[in-house]
Amino acid sequence: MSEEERNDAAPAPTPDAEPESAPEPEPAPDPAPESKSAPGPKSAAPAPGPVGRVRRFFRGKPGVAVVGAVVGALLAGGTMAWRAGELPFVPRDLCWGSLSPDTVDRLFSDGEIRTRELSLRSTGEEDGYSTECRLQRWEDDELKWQISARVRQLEQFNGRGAREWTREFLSPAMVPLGDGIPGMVSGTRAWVALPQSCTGGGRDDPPTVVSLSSGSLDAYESDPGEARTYRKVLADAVVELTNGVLASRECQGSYPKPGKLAPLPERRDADTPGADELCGLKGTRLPARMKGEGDFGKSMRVTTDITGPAHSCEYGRNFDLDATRFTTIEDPRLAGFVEPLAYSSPVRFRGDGFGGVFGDMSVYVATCQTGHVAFLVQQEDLVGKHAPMIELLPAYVAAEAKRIGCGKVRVTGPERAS
Amino acid sequence: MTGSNESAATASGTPRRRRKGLAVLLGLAVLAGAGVGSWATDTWPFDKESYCWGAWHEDDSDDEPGALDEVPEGYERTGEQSAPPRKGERATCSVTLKEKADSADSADSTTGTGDEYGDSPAGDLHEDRITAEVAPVRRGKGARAAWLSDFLGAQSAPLPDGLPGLVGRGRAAFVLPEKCDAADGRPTVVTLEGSSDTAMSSAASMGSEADVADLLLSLANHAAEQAGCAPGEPFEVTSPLAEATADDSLAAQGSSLCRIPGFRFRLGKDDHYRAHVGAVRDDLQVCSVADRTDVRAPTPAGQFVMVSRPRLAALFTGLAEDSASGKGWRGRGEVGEERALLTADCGGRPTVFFMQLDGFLSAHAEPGPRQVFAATANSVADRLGCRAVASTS
Repeated sequence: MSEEERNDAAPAPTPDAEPESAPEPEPAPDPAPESKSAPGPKSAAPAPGPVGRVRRFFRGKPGVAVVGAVVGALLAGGTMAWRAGELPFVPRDLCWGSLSPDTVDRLFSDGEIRTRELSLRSTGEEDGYSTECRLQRWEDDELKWQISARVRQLEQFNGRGAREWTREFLSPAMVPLGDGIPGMVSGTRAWVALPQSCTGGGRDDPPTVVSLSSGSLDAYESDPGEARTYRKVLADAVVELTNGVLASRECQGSYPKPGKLAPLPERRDADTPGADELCGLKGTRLPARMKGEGDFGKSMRVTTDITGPAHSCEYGRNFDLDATRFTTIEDPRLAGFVEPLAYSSPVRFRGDGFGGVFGDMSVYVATCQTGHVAFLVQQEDLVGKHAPMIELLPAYVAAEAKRIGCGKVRVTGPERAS
Repeated sequence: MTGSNESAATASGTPRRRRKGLAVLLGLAVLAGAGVGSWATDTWPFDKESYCWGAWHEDDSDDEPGALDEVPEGYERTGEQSAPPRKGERATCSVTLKEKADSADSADSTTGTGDEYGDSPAGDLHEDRITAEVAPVRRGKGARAAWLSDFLGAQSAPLPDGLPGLVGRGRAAFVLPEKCDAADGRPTVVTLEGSSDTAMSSAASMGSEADVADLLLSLANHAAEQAGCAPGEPFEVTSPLAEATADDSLAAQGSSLCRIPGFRFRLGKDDHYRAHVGAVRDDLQVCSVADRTDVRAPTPAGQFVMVSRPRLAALFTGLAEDSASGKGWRGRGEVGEERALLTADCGGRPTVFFMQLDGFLSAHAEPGPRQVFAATANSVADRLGCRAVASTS
């Protein structure tokens, strides 16, 4: 979460030629080996130079024996360095050796990039595996921008964690990365779940997720062009990061570079004629208060590609502050992450599946052909006597279940848990 | 690297004697460099044992499949193979890891009797085997259906990157390109099957999914090459593989098997059938039902498959009459009591729906086998977001 400077220092991807005098008068105070990539992106390949020099050396001087030894030694040394993956002069990749300098260049406009990273190894703590790498852009000794790369196992039985994670990473601004990559991306957030073959654990264990967070959640809402550009960068970066984590964990396989992404979601007037259905779902009716009135008219937006691990839609004036959000998590492992919330609350929903209400959110889990699917209704500000997460859950679940091919799912309740 | 040395040697214009010495020295340097290089890459120029027409090599690389790992002490590895794969013909090979007789004798003399769990009965030598086959799918319908229930089962996961194959720890199959089809249009398939003489498991593990995928693809590439029908680019898995573990823990609404509404049977508690959910993807869905009357050797009893991944769908060619399937049905196929096959367009892709049931399941289908097939196929079509394929009347 980069709290500071998120308003003024949006990472403009257009690098303005800045007349920076004396480049690097002093090295970074704590130069971690990875923290500074050599500025020259094309590492001068050492091969062509030596050949010419050797030839001149032969012509002029007699000490040929030395040459043989030197050449042999060079070759052996080079081979070994190559084998260990540590060729000199090649800029190091950042954040656990996974983000290429090119990608980092695209993530930040200019300035000095520093990273701080924790080890990728598990801490072995009880509350799940979590580690972080921060990419920071500094200018004149001031932190200008920060991107947080995290690898963490999502926590079950954690209402706050589930709220925060779904709010940030399953918002309607997210679109699937496609090509069988189990992840999503928006203009400010990106995530990919590590395959089970890499994390181990059972079917019911929540996934371990690699994520990127850059600035506030809806930083680019007003600038679709910027959002589109930066979203592509984040998509490429999160896949690189994931592939790097897979490689460092010695896991098999790597994901392809993401292709064309679905369009950005459009903010629409909730009171548009013809949009009388909840999230566009057949057989539902949008309550009048979800549309707002007059000057207090609400907007809505909806995931533009619902083929991914999850999709959602939301209504509100300022989504960050007052949205009512409806989310369907189709990926069974990701659904497992919120599942405990569905069977451990004081207020219950029953029927073909099971569900519960926790303050400002409700969760319902049904079994579909793909396994468990979770349905969420969340309310950012809970004022007045209406409780959409209770009132609208049954209709949302029934209609969504039908749409995603889950068949008829009957929801009853709410009732107090006995 | 060595190339630059040689060019330096030929280009040097020094007097003859010095040039000779120089050549010798450079030769040594080249040798040293090459030696270090080959040491670095673990590629000694010594012969390695190879199996299955040279598709598999012992200790191939840093991450060689477990099956071709170093031979444990007291064991020996042998290979057998038929004539190399040729288009339209059947070729088989196998690799066996077997306990050596003399080492077993000494083990017996120390332990006295065989393992009390019956894992390796006294006197028997432990033996693991991988059997591979490159052959067109069976022509006979019964044989083909049995093959499909073995190799398109819930214990296998589809390969990533759209590759036409499935990999499990005990079994794996890969469909070669159309160019490799037999003359009558049957696709040629590469299969692997592990076996072990341990009493408990009918199919032994050949290693991790990644190991098995390695073996499968190297054999598929090799076989296609030898049969002269290799694609331009060799087949390769790049994305992470899916775990191949059947899911049998969840029931669907209304007690349908494999969570597919409509796949219903009148089964009592004493009927030892268990459903296993395999892949549930957009281009492949697999449900296997096993008869577990003998828990140590469950036998396949039923199966439902939806597949639209092109070469995998080809496995069903010729399995049913290519006739219109009746009023209210889409596509073509043949719907019977114990076997049903329907090919219909689903979202623009020719999609195969297939069911097979043993006599008991067929007799206990709720309400009847044809209706069960219709309801199940329609449920899956609904999940895929396409129109109903079967008539429900």
